[in-house]
Amino acid sequence: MKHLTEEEWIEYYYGESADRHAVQEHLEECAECAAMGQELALDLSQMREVVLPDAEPERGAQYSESVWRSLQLSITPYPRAEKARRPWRWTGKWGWGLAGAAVALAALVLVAFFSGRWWEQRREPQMAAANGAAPQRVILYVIGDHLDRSQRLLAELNDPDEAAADHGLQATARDLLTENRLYRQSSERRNTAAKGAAEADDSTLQTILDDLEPVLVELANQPDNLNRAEIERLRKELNTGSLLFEIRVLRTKVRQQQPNASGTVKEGSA
Amino acid sequence: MDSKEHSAIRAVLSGDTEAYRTLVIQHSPALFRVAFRITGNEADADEVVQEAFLRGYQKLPSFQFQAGFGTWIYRIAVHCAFDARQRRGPDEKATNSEDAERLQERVPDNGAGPERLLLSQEMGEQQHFAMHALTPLERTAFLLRHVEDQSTSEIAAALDMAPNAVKQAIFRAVQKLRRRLAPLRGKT
Repeated sequence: MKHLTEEEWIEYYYGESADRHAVQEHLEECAECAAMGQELALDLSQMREVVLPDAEPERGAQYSESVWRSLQLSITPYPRAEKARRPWRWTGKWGWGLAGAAVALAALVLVAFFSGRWWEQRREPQMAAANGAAPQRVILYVIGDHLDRSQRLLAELNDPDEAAADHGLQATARDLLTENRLYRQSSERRNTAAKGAAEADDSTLQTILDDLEPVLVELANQPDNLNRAEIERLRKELNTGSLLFEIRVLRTKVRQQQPNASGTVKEGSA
Repeated sequence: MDSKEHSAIRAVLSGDTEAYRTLVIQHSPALFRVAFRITGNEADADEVVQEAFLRGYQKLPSFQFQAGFGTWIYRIAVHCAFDARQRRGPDEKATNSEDAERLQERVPDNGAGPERLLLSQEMGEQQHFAMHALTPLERTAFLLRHVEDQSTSEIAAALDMAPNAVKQAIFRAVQKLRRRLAPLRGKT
């Protein structure tokens, strides 16, 4: 090994030689390098006082506190917690759980929505039928009462003695006439919009109401207290026999439909 | 590794500024010492300590918990002190080469009495001249290596330089100091 350079000696002195063992072996063999090394070590050992500033000032606990007080004014707190800044941690253990729950909830909402739609579509025909049946039941009930009263009036007209004794015949006819006009108008509107099986019954009712109106008009326009002869004349002019028969037939049909259709709706006064 | 210090750091990062106080209290004296050695000035050293702790606080999110906070903040302080030393520029004493040469010519003759006392004073001044003749990098690297007992790689990390550059700076510092101080020991 060649003689050590100053750089190699400095490295060796500070314990940073690349091959410390080789340097030690060389120093044991080479007196010149050993002497140079001792000289360098002596110089360096005396340099500590040289390089240090004069009388290093002491700094104790008071100094540390003063440093902190000064520093305290310059620092701003870090955000309280990561959670506050990122309330929704998708990558965390609970984050994935919550995400799954959210997806499941969304799927449930969709299923419920489309099930509701499907259910409504299924029920629409039934609802439509029910919605159509309800007014029909009301109509039959009301019409049944009107037909009953009209039937009694026509039956009374067929018996001149009884009719002559009834001083309220014309008044009854006027009431029935008002109702009959309303029912006729209603029946006409329903016949315009009616479709299907109910159309046939409605047309029969419409015919009866149409035939009944002129009879009621004639009776309503008669003076009060008609005698038996006048009643007999009206009976012949109006020829209410076939009308009375048609009313009875229709009334029978209505009676048969009322319990089945309404269930709880009582039959009109007969 | 100090688990208490690591807990304090975690607390600071969670928003507890008061937790930083314990770290400042614990490490302020050590930082002041190395800052004063590098800058050679008390006021500069005080500023370096403040700056180091402030930088440390700002860099705290990047702190690696495998290391100790003391080592970490020490390196920051060394860097701050080195910067302060460089900002201050060349030392007036170091530029006064005429005085240095004059002192070097007055080599001691190992005499006794008043002359020897005068010579001791001159030796002290000569040592200071020798030290101030170093560049900031040479002075800082040599101080950290020779006095603070930091390895070349640690110094390189603190100064953010290549280890070889630090090693060369230390060599140059030793050579300069030995040459400057050789006449005081009767060497040529």
